[in-house]
Amino acid sequence: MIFPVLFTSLSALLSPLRVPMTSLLLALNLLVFVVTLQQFERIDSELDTLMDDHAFMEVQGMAFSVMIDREPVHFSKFLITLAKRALNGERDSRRILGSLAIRNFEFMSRAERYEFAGDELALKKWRGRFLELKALEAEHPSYLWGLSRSKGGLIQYISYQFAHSGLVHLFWNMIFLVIFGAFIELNLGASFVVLAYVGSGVAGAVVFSKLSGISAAPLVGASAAVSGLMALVGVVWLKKEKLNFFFWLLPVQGYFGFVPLPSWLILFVSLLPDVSGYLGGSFEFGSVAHSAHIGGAAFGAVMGAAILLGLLQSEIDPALPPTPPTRVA
Amino acid sequence: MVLDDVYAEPRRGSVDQQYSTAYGPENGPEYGPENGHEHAGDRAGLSKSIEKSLAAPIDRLAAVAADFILAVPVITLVVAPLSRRAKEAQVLGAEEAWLTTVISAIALGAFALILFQTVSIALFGATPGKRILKLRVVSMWTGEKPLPLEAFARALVWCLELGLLGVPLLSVFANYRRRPFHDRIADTAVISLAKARRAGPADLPEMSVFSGFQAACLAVVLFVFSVNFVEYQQHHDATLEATLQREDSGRLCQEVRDAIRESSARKAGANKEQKKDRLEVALSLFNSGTLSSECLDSEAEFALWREQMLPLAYLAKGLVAVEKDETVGRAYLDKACEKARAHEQTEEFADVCRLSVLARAGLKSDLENELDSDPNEAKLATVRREVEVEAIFSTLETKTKSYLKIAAIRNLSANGEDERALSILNGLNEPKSLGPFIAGERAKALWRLGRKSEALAAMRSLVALSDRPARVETARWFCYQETDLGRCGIGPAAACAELKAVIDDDDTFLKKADVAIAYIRATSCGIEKPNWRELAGKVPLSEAKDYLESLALLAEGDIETGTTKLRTIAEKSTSRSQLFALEANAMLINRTQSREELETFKSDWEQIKPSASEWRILGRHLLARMSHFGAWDDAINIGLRLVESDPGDRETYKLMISAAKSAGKLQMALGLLAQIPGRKPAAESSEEAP
Repeated sequence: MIFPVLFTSLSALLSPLRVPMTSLLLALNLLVFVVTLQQFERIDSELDTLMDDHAFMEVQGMAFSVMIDREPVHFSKFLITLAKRALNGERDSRRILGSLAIRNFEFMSRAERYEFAGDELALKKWRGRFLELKALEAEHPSYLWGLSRSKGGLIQYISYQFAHSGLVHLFWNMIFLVIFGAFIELNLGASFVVLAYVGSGVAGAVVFSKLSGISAAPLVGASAAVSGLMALVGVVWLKKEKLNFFFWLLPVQGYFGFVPLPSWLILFVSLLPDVSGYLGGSFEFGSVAHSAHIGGAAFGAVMGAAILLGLLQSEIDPALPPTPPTRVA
Repeated sequence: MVLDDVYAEPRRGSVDQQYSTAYGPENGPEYGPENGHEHAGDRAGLSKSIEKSLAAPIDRLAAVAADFILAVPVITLVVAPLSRRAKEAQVLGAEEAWLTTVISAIALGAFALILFQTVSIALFGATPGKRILKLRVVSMWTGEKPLPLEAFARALVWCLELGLLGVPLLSVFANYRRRPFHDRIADTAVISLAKARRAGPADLPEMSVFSGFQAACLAVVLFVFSVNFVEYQQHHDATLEATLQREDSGRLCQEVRDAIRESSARKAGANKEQKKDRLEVALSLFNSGTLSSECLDSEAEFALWREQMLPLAYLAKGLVAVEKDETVGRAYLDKACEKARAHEQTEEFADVCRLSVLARAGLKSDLENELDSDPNEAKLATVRREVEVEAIFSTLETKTKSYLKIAAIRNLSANGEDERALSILNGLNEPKSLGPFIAGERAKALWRLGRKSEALAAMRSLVALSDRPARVETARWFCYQETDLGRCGIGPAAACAELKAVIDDDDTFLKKADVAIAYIRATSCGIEKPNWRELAGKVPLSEAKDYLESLALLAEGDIETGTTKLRTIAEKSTSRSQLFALEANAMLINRTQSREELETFKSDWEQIKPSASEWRILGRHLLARMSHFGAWDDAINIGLRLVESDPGDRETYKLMISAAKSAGKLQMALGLLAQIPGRKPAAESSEEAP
């Protein structure tokens, strides 16, 4: 593997005041996570209980199938096929549709008042639990902060960047935010970090809505913003000194370590997998919003190009070369 | 460090010059087969130079790792569209489509990899990873980069070697010139331009060890592949068959489809008619005991969610649900009736309501609730229910639809109305799938009416139908009834002969507790003295083994231990051991030595709820044993309680009549005789009970 490691950023972390904007963005993300953690865990636990109720999921799947069967024009071919199988009696298809229904805006927005035909007794029981599900979602931090069809205002295009779906999600995004945010702040200035972060996040959400479509399941995370930061560095440093990368070929001395490499590799290792993920993923059951990453990276790249073309001037003297890469034996 | 000199002063000159530098100018004149040289290896100079310059295996491995880091994102991008299709096919359970897509993706990925390697090596003599590690691929003939065709062959074979989990690549250790098969087929070798990192040829110990290791690994890999392939074939055939069935009939039941096919010649009609038949056929099969609850549930759901035959569908759901949860079942049965009344006012749907009432009549929780509340109210409710049920029977008897007739047969039989049940059975002309049910019910009805020779003949007709489970069930039932209360003799022996014949042929049926119990009873009535310990070895159930152990102890004269063991068995309460618990309890009652000892069992019996099946069975044993001790009044009182809850219980009537006669109460005996259900007032059969 190869992984960009910008030592200047790591050293800057030891004195956060050197990179106040990056520190602020990091703090905001952590604050939102900590404040919403308890509620997150409580509601997630209750949602898990609902999802583990096979009877509920099966009936929900059947209800979804009925809706798809009646109005196929609103749904993808994949869902139409699944619905036919569910109506034919396939239990697995019912459960899958039950899970997919939660992500589907058409279903989630209309199911409460929809006239389903079928097992009335089972539907009655299901409706009660469905209302519980909706109430839980209304309180869930991801639904409050994230971008979804039910909450798609301008504020959500920004707030979603500060909400995360779990500790691992937060951890990796923050690592990259720190590495690239601090690097940009030290070399280009604080305003560039903010512009890149927020702009990439918004661009990512816009691209996501166009390419994948906003669904009932909320979009959360700083990944689009962080992709923008990475792309910015990748483009701006094309003509500058090489950047440090950590490489790992074999677990043997001499076959792992640090090496200066061209900055375009950042785009190669981050952007390409996102494009593959977008082309190869299924919208219905994917959990990573690759199109949002692509959108964010595109913004970062455009911003980087603007800097290279002189359309955007760095706050810090643009004539000064950046801190040279450190070689580690 | 490996990449110390990656950004050192770039080498000038062509790749060839780089190689010449590596080998030195002593290579000499032109070489190759046209000059009489068999192989470049014969030419000491070039061959020796290459050998000295051979790359270390670890560098080659690191180069592969570097190539993967660079190639994998690109290959992933290339196969991405296929990846989506594969995921969707997997979710849809379309195994064929998934496999085709996966194979296409692998082929496309392999093609991309081969192209990548071929172009890199043909143009630059090295892949990017090899360039980073300062390795080069050279032809053994020329010492330069290989020709495009050689590069292609090398790349192709390399991919195949990778497909075998990379085991053939271990030849970098096992071959003198560190040339795996892909190098040998292309006549190439891999050298290192970094002098300090050259490994040279492999030495003998290295080659020996790794040759053996490689052969062993290859054997294991091939074995694992073969086993997986065979398993896949078997799984694939089974899955394919299941898929074909599924495509044909959705997830609905084979048995229903087969039954419909059998009767489709008689019923020509539109698709809707067939769909209508589907649920009715499923109900017929379910009522006859030949269709599982899961199947009926699937059929009912299919109809419900497509809004077809709603009253019937709710009825089917109700019949299935009552087995697990009476509250849920009751709700569905009530819904069936509600839909029948509101949906369409036809006679057909009115029948659904009747069946719903019948099914509700049998709910234990309703009976228990009534008995727990005001006993007078409970009696009134019972009478009302009986009247309602009788009205329904009378209506159902005249119906033409088979599921209604079968429901009528089951309910009439359960209520002792065997003559009426028999008249319906004789008129049934149903598909083969219901044949065993009809034959079995005829046999039982005839037996209950005392027409035992006809009953045995009817039972033997099951042999012709070759339905072994139905044969076993009917034979078990016969044997169990005939040996009830410890009876042995010609009648029981004849009844149990069929069961013995079936079990001797196939003793796997002894896995079922009820069959095992009937068989044990049949054995105890045999001419020869039974060897209980030998039988314990034959019966697989642990509960049966315990029971047989206690019988063995009793037979051997160890009464105290045997009785203690029986008491232990009698106290168990798991669903399977309950049958043996009941049998043990009955045995203990039959072995009581005094009326006082029997009183203990009687007071225990009075604690049992009358709705429980063991209440009736143990009650009859108590009745018989009370009569044995001359306690006629107690016996008759027990009998009256039994027939009050089940007026169709002929056996109890017979025992009471016998007790009444023994007590000298002839009027009572005659009165009881008149009350036996289904009894014709004209001359009785000579085979009837005294």
